[in-house]
Amino acid sequence: MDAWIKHRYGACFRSLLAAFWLLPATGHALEISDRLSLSGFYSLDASLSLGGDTSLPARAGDITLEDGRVSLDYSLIGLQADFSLTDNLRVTAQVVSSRQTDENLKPTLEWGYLSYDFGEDLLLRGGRLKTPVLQGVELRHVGFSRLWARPLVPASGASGFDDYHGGEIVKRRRLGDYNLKIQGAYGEAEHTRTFIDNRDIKVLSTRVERDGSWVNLALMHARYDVHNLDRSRVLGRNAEVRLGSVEAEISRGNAILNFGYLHGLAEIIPDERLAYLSLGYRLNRAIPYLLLQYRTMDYPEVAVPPPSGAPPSAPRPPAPKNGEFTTRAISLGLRYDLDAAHAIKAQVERQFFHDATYRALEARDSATTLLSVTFEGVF
Amino acid sequence: MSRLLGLIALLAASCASHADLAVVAARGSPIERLDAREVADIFLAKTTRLPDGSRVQPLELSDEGVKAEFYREISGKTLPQINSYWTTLIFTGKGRPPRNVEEIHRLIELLNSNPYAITYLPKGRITESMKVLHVFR
Repeated sequence: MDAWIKHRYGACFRSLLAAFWLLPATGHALEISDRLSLSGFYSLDASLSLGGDTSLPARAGDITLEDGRVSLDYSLIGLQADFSLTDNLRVTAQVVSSRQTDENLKPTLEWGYLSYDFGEDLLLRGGRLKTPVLQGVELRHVGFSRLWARPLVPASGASGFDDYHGGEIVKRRRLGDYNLKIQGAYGEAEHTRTFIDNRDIKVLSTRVERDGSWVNLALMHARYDVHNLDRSRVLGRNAEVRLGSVEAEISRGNAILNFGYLHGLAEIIPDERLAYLSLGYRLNRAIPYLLLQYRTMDYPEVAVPPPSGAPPSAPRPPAPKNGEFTTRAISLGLRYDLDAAHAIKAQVERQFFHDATYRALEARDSATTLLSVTFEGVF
Repeated sequence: MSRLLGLIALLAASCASHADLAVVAARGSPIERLDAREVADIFLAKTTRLPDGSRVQPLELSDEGVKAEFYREISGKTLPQINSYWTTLIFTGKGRPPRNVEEIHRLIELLNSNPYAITYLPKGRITESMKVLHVFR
């Protein structure tokens, strides 16, 4: 077992273990100097799928869990450095090592930007940023920030446009009893699929907070070109995706209610919907929760011409997907806060799949059970 | 008997509650008073400015007990909940927690070096070099 882990997870696993023993319990960043600080996060996740293979959402393509085998592939470690160039100008870089971002655990730059504080609670920043749609997209890798074992995002995140190079402006303001935050973003996104080239992306996001509860609304528009898999042909130019989301957390006493809905309407690539509802209840350090999720990908009909020069008797390519793949899931879980900066989570999830993606085939139904134990924290 | 025990527990809880905390700045600070909402907005990074537009610098001592009491007072959240909140800001670049200071003498130095630096302390640790801006009642 030890050899297998060392072989498969190598440096990442050792880093996680080292992180566990070295981390302070406070969760505060390590201040190297008045200008430089280091902070980070980690997740050590062991998940087991029972009843069939299943997949977990990941930015670099889904992570497949083989039936009956424990996987540590959802584990990760992230480090962030913040350096203040002046009182108002700051540079930030965040790297993550995980199979969620690179098959070989090569550290990937997730955030890298310059930010300028204009005062008046107005912030401008530019560089490599995350699309500010759902909280699970921006904080996909920071498990300690959420109640659940995994982020609540559609299979493709923000229709695959989770990261972009560009600029954004963030304005905060108090309006009576409410704190308001407005965020506008513009840039060129990096799609998770190499055969999709983004032309531009625009996002407007608004968050309203009061007494620890919040609501977040976001609208996204992106234009893109789609190629075939080997990029030898263009399947569509200047296609568009329009995406809207609403997400909220309402805290009353010890009860925590979360819900969210996202709907993306796209050309050529799948439409997506996500809905979730979660109810948790804090009992001192423990928070048991119930989570319901509904996710669907609706594949459009795409006219794919046959390979040029193929003889009439040559095998035909598979029929294009043009139906829905739906996942419904019910989860029961527990988050237990070990201290202010480390937590352990256990989650049992029953997933029901309805695959009607191929018109030529009958729809198929299946189900799996996913068990996850996650140890995570910040430092 | 059970009522008596309950009363004792209530009294013990109230003695250990937020009544002992105050928000302070250096005696020479131009900040005169802060209300509870302003304190919460500053220490939860919802604003970096005072109503007059001055940039404020929140500081805090590395004392888990005092922190827990303070954040429960201004947000109703426990320390793990507050740390979850900070992670949503730090790792999206939308805010930072107050600067953490290990020693009280260093905290006093920082207060004295910046008239817009503020912190929270148990009343017993407030010195004559400080000005009280807000008291939790």
